[in-house]
Amino acid sequence: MTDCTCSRRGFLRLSVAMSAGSALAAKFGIPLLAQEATGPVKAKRCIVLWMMGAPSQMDTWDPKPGTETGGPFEAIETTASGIKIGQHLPFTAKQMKHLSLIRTVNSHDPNHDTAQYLLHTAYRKAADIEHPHLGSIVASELGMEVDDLPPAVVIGSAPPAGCGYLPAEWAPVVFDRLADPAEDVLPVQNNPRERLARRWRMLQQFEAGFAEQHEDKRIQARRQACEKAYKVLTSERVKAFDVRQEPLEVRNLYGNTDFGRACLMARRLAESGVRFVEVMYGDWDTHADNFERVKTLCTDIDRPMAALVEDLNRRGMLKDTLILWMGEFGRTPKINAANGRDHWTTWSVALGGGGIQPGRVIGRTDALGMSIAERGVPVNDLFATIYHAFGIQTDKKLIQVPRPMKVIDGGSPVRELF
Amino acid sequence: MNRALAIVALLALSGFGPQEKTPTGPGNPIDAWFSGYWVSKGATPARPATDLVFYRRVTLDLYGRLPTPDEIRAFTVDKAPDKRGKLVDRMLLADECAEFLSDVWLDALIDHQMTSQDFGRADMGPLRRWVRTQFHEDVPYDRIVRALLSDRGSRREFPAVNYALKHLGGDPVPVKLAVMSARLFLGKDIRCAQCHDHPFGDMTQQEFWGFMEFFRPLRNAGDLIERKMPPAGAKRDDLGEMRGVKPRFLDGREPAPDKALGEALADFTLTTAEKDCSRALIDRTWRQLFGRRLLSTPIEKNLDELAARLAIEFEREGWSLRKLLRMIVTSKVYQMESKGKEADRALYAAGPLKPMGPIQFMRVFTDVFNLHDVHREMYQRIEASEIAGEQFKDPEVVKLLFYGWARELLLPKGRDPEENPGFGTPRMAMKFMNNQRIQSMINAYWGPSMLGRIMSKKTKATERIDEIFLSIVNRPASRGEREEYVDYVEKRAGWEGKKPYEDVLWVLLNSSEFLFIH
Repeated sequence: MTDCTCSRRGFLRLSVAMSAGSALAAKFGIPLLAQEATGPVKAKRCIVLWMMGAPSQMDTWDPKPGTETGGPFEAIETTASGIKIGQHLPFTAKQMKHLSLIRTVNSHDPNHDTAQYLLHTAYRKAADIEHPHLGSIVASELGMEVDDLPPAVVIGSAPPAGCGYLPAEWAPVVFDRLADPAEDVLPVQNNPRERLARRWRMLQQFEAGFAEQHEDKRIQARRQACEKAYKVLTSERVKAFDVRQEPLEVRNLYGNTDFGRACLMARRLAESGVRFVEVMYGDWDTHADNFERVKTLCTDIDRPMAALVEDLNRRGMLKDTLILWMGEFGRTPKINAANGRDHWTTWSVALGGGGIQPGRVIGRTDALGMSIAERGVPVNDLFATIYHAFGIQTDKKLIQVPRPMKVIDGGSPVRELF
Repeated sequence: MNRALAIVALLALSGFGPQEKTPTGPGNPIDAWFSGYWVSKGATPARPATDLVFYRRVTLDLYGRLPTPDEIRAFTVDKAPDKRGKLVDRMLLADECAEFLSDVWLDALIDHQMTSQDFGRADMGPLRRWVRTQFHEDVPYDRIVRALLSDRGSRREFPAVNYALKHLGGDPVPVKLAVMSARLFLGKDIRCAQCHDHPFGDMTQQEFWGFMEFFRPLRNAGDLIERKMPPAGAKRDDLGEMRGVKPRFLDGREPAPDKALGEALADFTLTTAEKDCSRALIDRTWRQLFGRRLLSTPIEKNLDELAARLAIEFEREGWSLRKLLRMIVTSKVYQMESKGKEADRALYAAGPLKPMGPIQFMRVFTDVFNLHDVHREMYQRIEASEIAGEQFKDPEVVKLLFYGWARELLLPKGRDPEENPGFGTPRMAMKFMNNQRIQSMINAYWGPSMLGRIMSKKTKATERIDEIFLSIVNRPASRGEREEYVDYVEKRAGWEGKKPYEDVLWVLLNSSEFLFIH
């Protein structure tokens, strides 16, 4: 590595390797090179808590109590000096010293489907190309930490984007039943692993005949996908999916709920070498009855989210694990006739760990939350910030054909967070 | 020898023994073309597929499901010399065929995906019923295309408009609809030319936006309407938009001023010099049956000459989808053995080979695990639900959701199914190898399951193994396989009971022979 970065010839050699393909480039150590270009790199893995349906910023991270738009909720003090958040996030308030907020993330897209795509890819949905999921980019740019767990995992629902134009190996593996996300991977009741191994041997024997008679790349690729799956199923690390192996005290910390268990699973996976984990939760689309519903939803997520931050910190993982809490957009400050809030394209994102400076608030909305008073952060800047935390160069072209596609198309990191 | 064993023996004979005379002949234009092609390439075509292989292939391709053991037995004992041709004729007239093939076609019309917003934009129930009727009645394809391109008005009264409505999103100009229409009805990928002159083809950016003018006035106002003025506050599209271009078809023709734009578009689409619309359909149908394109792409040379020949034949036969399908599936090249090397297959010297598509996979999955009742209950629950949107209360629509689920198991999300075969993701492999619910469905002790039924119907190990093989890979076990598996289940019967049969079913369900249509 020293050769490559210190001598001119070495640098040239590296440039050639980089343009020759991402596999080669990864081998030569892109993250280290990126570090030199973009400053200190902290994050090695990422956990996203995705709030489906667009949560109300007014009732969570950007409260305006006592105003005509504020609604009935109070704001509460947190462990981060000067930061107040919605009253139904008391556990999170205690962990706020580890987190920061961006209160002025904004876009032009108030439609759920396309905005969910935008907030997972940093690209507007296009007619001609599918863009990669944030997790696919993080995993492919950083490379696999272990080869017997998927590099990127999504829990709880099907994400709006996949590997896009990146190779299929970087596609997030989806475990879409929040109630039982590990159902595909953990040993089946009454079917011990020895049985799986025996079946696998029988399958290999059966497959050989057909594959020999039918020479075909697709059959080979399918068999490789099966081998990869078998490797995960029989790996020691597959236990990362089993939250029951966690001490009771830790399980209690996260709470005995689907979302709580999914957050604990996210930590276990991150700890075991999965680069990217996303937990999708909610229906935050509160056009009616906003306050009752947000209260319930906040109660659902508060304890697990706080536990995740606390647990990661206790294990010394917070410094290199980036946590993001986000949704596809925000909700109107104005309360509608059904006591709900509608779609609004300025909203808040909470983030922490992975080199993000804690206790900071970026951007300010006005007294009623109706407009950005200070420091708007467009979606591309949010993504530039995320990629910056990993040392990923955002102008790197991930593909050239059918047309050159950069990691993101423009955008600058929020420097105040580093 | 008891009767069941006699049938097994008969099956083995007809499956692996001497071949029946091929029902195809020089009258089939595809056969005529390939006999010259193989000579010119110095290729030797593979031998005809056995009855068993042919029957599985054609059932998956025309009905989208696996044949049942009873159907297989009936077909293989039939001694009529033209039984394959008769079978194809019977299948092509069946409701099952219309339902399956129209779903495959509908899947292409919706660009292989339905988001929740799409369900709000278009009424999928009427569209699915309409497409099925077109296939069932073998409505000439040019009429189907004309309706899809030129119908306007109520989404209920003119169900074809739901195609356009699905692709009319929030974009300031309906680029998606134009791109889809060029792909589906002209076989052309015009995407690059949205922003710049096409680097490989001969299309300019100006021509792209001239073509766009046929779609520009379309609006999704609940129903499909045309409006000359742009939507209020419409911003310039950020990707290469050109305004003020005159409507001009891709081959340069311009619509008469008094002609409705949709009608003009349909006229032009159906009358290009190269018969592009027919060729695009033939290419799609060919791809569905052979897993390979017939038309060349910028990076791949294919059999354009054959496509042109078939397009003439297709139009001469009154644009009949049924006749086109018949011509292909009764051809020698479709009915050949698919064993062979990649190089053989590239020359069509080996028969078709491709993975099941999502619609086939979902139907097979439902049959194998006997999920019909479960699905029915699900429809009823959705119907009774207070929170499910109206559009989901139509069982026609719910089925589309199931197909979406199958697609994501077969193909990583974000991959374009038009360009990538979906042969199964690691997640699908994990699910089939290990998922608790799937494992419980291959339970030999559960009466309603496929295995449960086999266990109660058959008593001997050989019969049970053969029946499992017939049900999943649609052939009896080979001698070696039979010996091996019978030995396996009998040795373990003492302490594992019927469970070893579950292992055999598991092996077949996770095999490539099951997932691929060969």
